[in-house]
Amino acid sequence: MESILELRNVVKNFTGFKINGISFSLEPGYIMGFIGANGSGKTTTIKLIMNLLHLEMGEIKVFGLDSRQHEQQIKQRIGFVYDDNHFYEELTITQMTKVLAPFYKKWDWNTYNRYIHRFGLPSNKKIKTFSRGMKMKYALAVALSHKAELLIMDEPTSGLDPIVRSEILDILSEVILDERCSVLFSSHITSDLDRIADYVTLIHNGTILFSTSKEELFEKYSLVKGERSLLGENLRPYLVGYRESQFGFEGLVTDKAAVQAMLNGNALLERPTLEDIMLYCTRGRAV
Amino acid sequence: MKHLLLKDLLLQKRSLGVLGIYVVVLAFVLPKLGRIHVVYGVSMIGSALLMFSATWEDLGNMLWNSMPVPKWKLVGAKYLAIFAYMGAAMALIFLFGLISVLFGTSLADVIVSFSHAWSGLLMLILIACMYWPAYFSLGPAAARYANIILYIILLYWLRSGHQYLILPVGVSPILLVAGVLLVLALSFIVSLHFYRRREF
Repeated sequence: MESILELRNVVKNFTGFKINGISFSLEPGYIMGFIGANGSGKTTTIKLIMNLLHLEMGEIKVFGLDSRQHEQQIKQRIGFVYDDNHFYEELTITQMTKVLAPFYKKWDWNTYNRYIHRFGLPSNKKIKTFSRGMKMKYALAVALSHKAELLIMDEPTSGLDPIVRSEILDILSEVILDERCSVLFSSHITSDLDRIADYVTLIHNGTILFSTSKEELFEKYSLVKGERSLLGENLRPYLVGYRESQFGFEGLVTDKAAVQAMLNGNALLERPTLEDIMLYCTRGRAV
Repeated sequence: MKHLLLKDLLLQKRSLGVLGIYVVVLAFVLPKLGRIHVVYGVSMIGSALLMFSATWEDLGNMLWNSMPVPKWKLVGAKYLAIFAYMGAAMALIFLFGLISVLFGTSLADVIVSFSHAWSGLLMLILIACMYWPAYFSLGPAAARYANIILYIILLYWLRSGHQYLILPVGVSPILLVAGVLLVLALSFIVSLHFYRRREF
């Protein structure tokens, strides 16, 4: 099956920061969580995909098309939600949508009105009077109203209360039921992705550390907790990262079976959260 | 492109308050509505409108460049809006002229003064043709400095009362229109070139 999004050896240089030849791909009908700490390169990568930044090296294909050569064609099929509001605050959402909608060939007013109604957004109030959650919901309504086949979301849930976050995640889960649509969802709130992501890509300092299915990730990694005396040379090759405290240690290990056999029931092995995996993969041995 | 223009006009509503202040300031600066004052008034109000329209694109650039909107349309809409601002500036100055009738200026003088408004419109086009490439090249923040420089130049002209702003009689209208269109086209091409190189 052809990837809906494919990045190959993408390079972008800034002063003091570099997107370092990153590659990953997303298959149709899946949600990919794009995780990493603040400043790791998530937004830069998304901007490169959206052609908001110029690519220096490498290749980005969306729907199998070169992102630069077929920019307009591709953007007809992409819905986007960014972390900041990019709508004109002085306009009402009715005015804003009347300006935006004609640019999408497949704009569907029924779908739009359904989402506006569902989100309880007031049509005649200026966007500047909206809360952050309302602005985000409006952005989502616009992104979902032109039959987008790929949703690109940059930190859409950051700064939102748990109810709004949950609402947005529910919508995404519904959207993905239509298997034509895929989602690239960047976030540092990994609990959101624990819930909805099928694939996870971790970026750190402009480098992709892994891009794999969530199942494979949880099969590969385990969280180990035990006494500090267990932190011997035998365990270290399996440790991706660990943290010591006065009570013992906690760490992320690969090869659960081997570690289990080695520790012989003296340590606790648990399923990690995405946050654990992100934390230990990016920080290694924590202080 | 008409929707981009519509957006600009919708957003200009927020500028009405500021424009009201402008007209009050003009009432002090231009106590009598003479032909040179019409030229200054039209060009100053028009240029204020186009500079307002640049300020809110801080938000708009990310939005429009993420949408299926070619860059030439985004740039073109700003140039098209110049003509809408010309109309708005003319209407405001004419309103100012009518008010001045209440304070003793004869209607005939106002109408004669307006026969020179086209010089103001030309000046506005020239200002826009300098301003938009600066904006599309450097972004709204840097364009604000261009804004200040343009205002200083305008105020200098206003203070020194340069009559040469009233263009010489006898210039062929066809030549004039062709010249204006050429300047607009060149400015548009330069703006588009800069905008395509911009990153957001």
